[in-house]
Amino acid sequence: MAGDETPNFHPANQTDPVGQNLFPDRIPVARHLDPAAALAFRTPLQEHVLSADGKAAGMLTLLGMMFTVLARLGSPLAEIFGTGGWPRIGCALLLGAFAVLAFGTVVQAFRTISPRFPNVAPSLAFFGDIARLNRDEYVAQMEALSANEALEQMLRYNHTSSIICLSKYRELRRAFRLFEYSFFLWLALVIILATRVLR
Amino acid sequence: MITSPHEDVSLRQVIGPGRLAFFTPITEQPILADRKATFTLAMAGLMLTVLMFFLSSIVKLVHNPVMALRIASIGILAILVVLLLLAAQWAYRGYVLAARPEDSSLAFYRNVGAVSVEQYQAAMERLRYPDALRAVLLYNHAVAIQAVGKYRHANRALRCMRWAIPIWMLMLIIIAVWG
Repeated sequence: MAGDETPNFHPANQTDPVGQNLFPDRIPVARHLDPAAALAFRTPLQEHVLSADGKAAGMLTLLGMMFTVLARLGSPLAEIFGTGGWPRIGCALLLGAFAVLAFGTVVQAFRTISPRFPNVAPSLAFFGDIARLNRDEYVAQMEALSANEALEQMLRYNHTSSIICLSKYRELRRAFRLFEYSFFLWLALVIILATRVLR
Repeated sequence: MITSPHEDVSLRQVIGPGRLAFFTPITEQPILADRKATFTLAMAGLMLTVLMFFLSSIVKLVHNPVMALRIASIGILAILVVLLLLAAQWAYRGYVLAARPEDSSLAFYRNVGAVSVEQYQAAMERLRYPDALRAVLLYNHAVAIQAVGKYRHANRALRCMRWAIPIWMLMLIIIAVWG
């Protein structure tokens, strides 16, 4: 408004130096770019954690279905075990290998899902460290932060979360590898048992 | 229209804490813990349903003439049921754990919804930057406490499931071969 000397912190105001480039909810334009804060406070990390956990949970569900199908085909399996000879040895090997690989997949899936917190310095952006403080301590520590210290806390959080993500995906890759092998063994077993049922 | 206060000398002081407070990645944490609890509950339900599906085979195993097989089946079943019940119990306790609203922080939906829109609007218009910062800090702290509680329960449930799932798989193999 003409003649109004009150500083306006609204995002639309292009002349205010404080409101324009300091709050992260204002879109950083080249003129007032604050690259570290803009990126640090918006680094998308949680989605990756959710994605890894979802895949591990999906793998466990699929394994559950595979075991249920196998148990359902119990009668032809018992018949094969009753006959003796090569079919029996072959089926026992397939079943044993499938079980071992499936158990390995379960272990890896749980390693993916279970949180692992590396030993790092605490950050006021991390819920565990916030909850360790009482309410007044948390408010006091937060209010005493400078802009740079706040950024440092966020960067520490991002780095720790990224380490956790990396570790989760490493475990998930191993789980996928084991799952793929166990799937093919399961498929072979199901084909053999289904063929026997059809005969 | 609600506008921010135009005059506030303390604005610069709250820039750092404000950035961190408003962007603390915390609201996802209870949701993430809830997903783990949901997975545990769903998986435990599925496992018990499948066991019920093979109830006649389980009865045969429990009455099997081979003593070792009989004892093994009963033992495995007992351990499995205890683990599944414990897992479901922990998961459910985490699932229903609610955040405790702090004072009258306007970041809490309960405090916002408890007053009329005019009162809410008036309270928001009265806010100064430090007040807004404090409101979100109280919210963050309450959600952090809730997330820690939820994770504690969800992780206990997952520890039970870590054993229950392989035991259940072993039980299905036993059913397939001897059931």
